Amino acid sequence: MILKNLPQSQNKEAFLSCSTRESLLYVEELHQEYRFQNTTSSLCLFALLKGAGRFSINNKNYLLGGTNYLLVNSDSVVSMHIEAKCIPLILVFSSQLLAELSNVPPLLYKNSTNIPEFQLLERLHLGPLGNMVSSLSELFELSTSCASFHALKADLLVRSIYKSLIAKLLEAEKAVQQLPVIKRSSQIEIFKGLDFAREWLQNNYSNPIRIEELSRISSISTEHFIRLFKVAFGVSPNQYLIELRLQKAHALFAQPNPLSVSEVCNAVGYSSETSFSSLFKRRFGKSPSDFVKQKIINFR
Amino acid sequence: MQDFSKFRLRVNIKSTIKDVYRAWATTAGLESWFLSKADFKSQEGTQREPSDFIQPSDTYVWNWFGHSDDVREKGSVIKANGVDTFAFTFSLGCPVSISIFRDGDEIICELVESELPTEDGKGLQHFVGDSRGWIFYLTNLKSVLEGGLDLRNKNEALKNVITA
Repeated sequence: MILKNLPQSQNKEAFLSCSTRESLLYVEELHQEYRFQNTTSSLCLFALLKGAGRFSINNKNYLLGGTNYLLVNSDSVVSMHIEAKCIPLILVFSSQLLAELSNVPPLLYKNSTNIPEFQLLERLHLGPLGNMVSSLSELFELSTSCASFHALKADLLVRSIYKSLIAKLLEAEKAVQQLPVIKRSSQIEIFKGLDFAREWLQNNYSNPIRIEELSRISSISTEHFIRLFKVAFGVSPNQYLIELRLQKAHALFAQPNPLSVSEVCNAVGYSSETSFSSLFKRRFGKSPSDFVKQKIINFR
Repeated sequence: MQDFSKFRLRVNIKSTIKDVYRAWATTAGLESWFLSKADFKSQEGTQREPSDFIQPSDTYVWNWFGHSDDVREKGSVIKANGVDTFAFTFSLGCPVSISIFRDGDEIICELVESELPTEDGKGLQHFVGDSRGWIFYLTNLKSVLEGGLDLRNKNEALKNVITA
């Protein structure tokens, strides 16, 4: 992997294209705002370690910042406007890596190439799920580090990031195949909406959630949203949310210094301790208080 | 002219050939001075026990302290004679060979990493990163075998240090 500064201005350098055997990591603390218009991209990831920026991918606009990241498919047209004092981080995967590690079904290859088609995942992704931004941040630290085997470790991390994207792509394709829509472009748009709503749930499970909100986020009507979510992911949005909250509660109870039952109940978004306890018992076979007691006994 | 396709490093250790070989050719040995976790499997897929001697054609998965589990190197064992020679694939698949021999009243452990690509910047990056890495780890091998002091950084908050 090669570490680079962003190109100075709108020069002719093939900014986001990477035909070489090396992946590229662009990173820089910006002293002034930065713009780059209409560059054709290879597969890449965008994140901001500090600040915010506006990006456009094939004329769709995204505001990027915090723990979110953008995935851009090969051959997409990208523009960006990043504020001063931001630290953008852009990982461009090498074409060699894409060809070498692509063990995906033929449907997911770009026409007559050995490069996988990431259109299904081309959008803003909400972190910190999957910790993509922390992986990118670790990559940056490694590339400037004096640690042992830093070049090897950076390469290993790039591979691991790419493998996790391939796994995500395969999972996405499986869900898309379930959708009762014939046209591929409609399948892709619907899936992106559903998947974005799912990520939003993963990031907001501790708040009260209304189905209308999920429907708005996914740009799919409420009735269709509930049905299509279940078709794509095998469970209704409500079941998904319950499972998510219970898993989070289980993880909180399993911590070395666990919170009280009422604290965990509130932390995962339940207002009624009775409902929470009943759901928890049904899922894990023990009430939350019994679960905590058992844990203390085991610890002793 | 400097040959960037390989490097050779040597460290002197007050130990025995047997103990130095065990430090390289067993899972428990490697985890005592080099790796946070080492998994070796035989060709048949059987996991090696911590004190088992690693055999030629075994495959490995290695992790280091201070890095996420995603930083994981996979490779295979090229040679393991059970006495004083051990070789394996490493960074970019390049062979690393270890020879252990006596020089006076000390043991010399010699490491040679070779076949590093020289046609672009990648080989040079790995030449620098790997040789720097091995210098630290060979020093740590000496330290662990002679005095028991493990110099590896185990503080996950610190990454930009030569002991990481």
